[in-house]
Amino acid sequence: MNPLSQTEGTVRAPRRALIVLAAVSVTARVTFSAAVDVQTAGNAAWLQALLFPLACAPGLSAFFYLTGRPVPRPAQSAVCVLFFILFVSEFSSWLYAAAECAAYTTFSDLPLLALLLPALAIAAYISSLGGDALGGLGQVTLAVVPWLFLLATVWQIRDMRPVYLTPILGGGLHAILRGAFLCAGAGLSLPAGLWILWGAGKEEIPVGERRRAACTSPLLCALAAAGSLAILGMLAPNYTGSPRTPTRAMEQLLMGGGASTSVQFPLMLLWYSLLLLGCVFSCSSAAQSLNVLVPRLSLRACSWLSALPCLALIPVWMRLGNARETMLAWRWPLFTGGLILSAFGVWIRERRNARRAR
Amino acid sequence: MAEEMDMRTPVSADLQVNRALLKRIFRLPRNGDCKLCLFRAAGRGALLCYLDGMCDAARIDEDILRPAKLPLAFSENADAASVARDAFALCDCETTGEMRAAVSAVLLGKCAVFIDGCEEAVLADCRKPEKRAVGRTVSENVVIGPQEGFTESLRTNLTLLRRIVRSERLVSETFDVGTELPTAFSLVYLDGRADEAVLSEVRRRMKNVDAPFVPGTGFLQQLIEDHPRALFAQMLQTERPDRASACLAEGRVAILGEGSPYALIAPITLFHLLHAPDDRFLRAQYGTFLRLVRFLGIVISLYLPAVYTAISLYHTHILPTSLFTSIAEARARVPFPVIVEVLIMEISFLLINEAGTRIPSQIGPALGIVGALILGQAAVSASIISPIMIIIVALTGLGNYAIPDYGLGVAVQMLRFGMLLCGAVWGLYGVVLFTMALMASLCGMRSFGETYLSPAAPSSRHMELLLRRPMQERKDEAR
Repeated sequence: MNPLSQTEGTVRAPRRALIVLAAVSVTARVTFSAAVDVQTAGNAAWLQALLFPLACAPGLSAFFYLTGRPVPRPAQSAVCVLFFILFVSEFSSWLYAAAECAAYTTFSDLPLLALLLPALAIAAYISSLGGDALGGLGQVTLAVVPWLFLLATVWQIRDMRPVYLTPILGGGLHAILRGAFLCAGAGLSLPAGLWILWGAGKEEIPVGERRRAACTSPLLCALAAAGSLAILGMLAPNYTGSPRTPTRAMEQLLMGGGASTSVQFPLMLLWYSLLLLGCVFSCSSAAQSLNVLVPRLSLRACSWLSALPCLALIPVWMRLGNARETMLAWRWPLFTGGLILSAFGVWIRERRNARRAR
Repeated sequence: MAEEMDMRTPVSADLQVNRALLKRIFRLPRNGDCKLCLFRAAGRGALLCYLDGMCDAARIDEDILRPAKLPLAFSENADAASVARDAFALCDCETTGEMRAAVSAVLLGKCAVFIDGCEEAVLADCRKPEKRAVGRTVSENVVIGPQEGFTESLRTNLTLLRRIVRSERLVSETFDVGTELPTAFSLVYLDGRADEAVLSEVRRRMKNVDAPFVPGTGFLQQLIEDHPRALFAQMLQTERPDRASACLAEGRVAILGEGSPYALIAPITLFHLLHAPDDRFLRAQYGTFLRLVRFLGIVISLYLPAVYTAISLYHTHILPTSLFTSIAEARARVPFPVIVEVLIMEISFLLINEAGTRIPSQIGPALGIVGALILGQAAVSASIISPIMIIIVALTGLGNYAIPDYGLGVAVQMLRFGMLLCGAVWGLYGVVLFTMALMASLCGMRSFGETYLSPAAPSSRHMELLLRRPMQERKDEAR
């Protein structure tokens, strides 16, 4: 940065741009969770994605309430500690998913660390660039991803069979609802991340933007994720093993089932981009929560400090393997609990202040 | 130190004191350029000081010496201002009581006239510096549109702009930049149209430049742009007055410098570097099509070698069988891995490119023969490279030449190597990683407050990205 420049330092991005970043990464996360991590619903995975905003409703209401008023420092710090832990675990799971995808498509012999480290470094670097870079990256990705998906869809359209989506309820209503709650664990990172990236309750946010973040974005994410899952579900698998394994799910996601191998090019670009964008979103949310807790640390230091604990968590993911579903189950109560408790704390404080004023 | 003391001295009423001072300042008689002429005007002694070649000798004779020598040119007690008004036949005359100002004016090409008994000097504008005529542009050629370009004369360049932008709101502020050897720069903008915050920021940065000598706009750009370490320029250098005028009409500011045939435009976005000057002179449909072709050129130039390397090293399964077989057959006799093959060809191409820029025009065809025969045919015959690699590098080079801005072309060449290495190490995963880092750093950049990837990020409907809107929809541009 030129010393003559006055634009030095962290520039806060337009809130709209950050909504886009959060929405794109959450859509990818929900799609990935429904397709690979949670396979109980079978061909009704798209219904899980469609229903996840319902499971997010309590957390989203708390988010809508919280962003409408300044949050006192103790509540802010408590929630930031919780969210820092959650986002670091989220970041490590994204990293693991990205590296797993790369390993699955290409580098089966390469140590996973060689694939994890560059993604970790890039995510921390992008996070350290600040709001403009984050928001801009979200918008650029949003401009590219639909075209890649459209290309892959048109390429495979002759191989799609709507009949594969039947029976509609797939693995049963119970499985769908359970999957929707698990997806909501991933989906709740949208309000939680946005609350942190918007300054963790330091200022009041206009109603329009709160509404867009709390209502419109999750619905759009649900529609986009459900649409993608339905399209993927219509593809005929060419995998001969068990239909309910992560490997088969990954095959469906990355290689378009039994379609021509050429389609793998846009699909690989699509999934690598989305998974890495998710890494960036969760890393920057973790870095911002650390920055709120320790304001003296620069954003750059916070970004790298948030990236380091991920390395320790990766072996946990590797050991858990398909049991990531269990970890996913914990996210919903923790995110929802964090948002609701802080909203409750703010409500009590406001009531007490109002009584005193009377 | 002594020179500084001399410069601070006020103009003396004693002609001999002024003469001695000027002799010291201009190192006379060692310095042959500076002329000091003593003459008598209306019965009083006078001293004329100017730099040979910077002034029009005929105008000095006709407009200063001849009228001043008339017996009743000015009264016996007249001050410098009265002399300038009554005696000289020049409209551009001013007075100064400071020796520093008088010396600066002489260095700019003006004449300084010191009159016995006056504590001020008259600065008369008789400038006629040598300069080349307005010619065709060198680096921004167009098929349809004006052909004239800026010259090295600041005055001529301002005239070229004023001829196109006929508005009383066109303002030109002059700055001397450089702590030891100042160079004249003009900040040009349309008052009321240019953003006041941008203007004050540009003024502040130009005033605070702490460099001894800033000989041109290229130097100034490096000193005042936001991110000097970034690969992409954050100011546009154009040698076309029509392009600079269009930017002024959009509310941007232009900086012109003495000795530089370019205007610096700020603030800009990446898309200004992608747009060619003749886009606006063509119909919207043609302009849009050509922009898309250029964009494709950039994508090919940046990605093709990296994607080829990544696919042929790691993702062969995504190639159709016939293409895979033909690549494998072509590479069967090549002893190097793909990455080495690509690097050999890329470096050879860069060398030919750079040599072609520096080579005298008489031996230019020889370079074409060397490039085509030795690096193309001979390398394939010797099985050092595969024929498909020639196609890859040729397409990459063509894509690079489609980039309208020279600096952007060089940046893309540099980035191509980074992309290539990432593709070679991590395949398409590495290409995506590098792209994300590149995109994020571009999104995080600013040019005088404007985000660099605007209107893509943050998105805006008010500016052009790749598609050119018809002129009827652009009426708001020049209010």
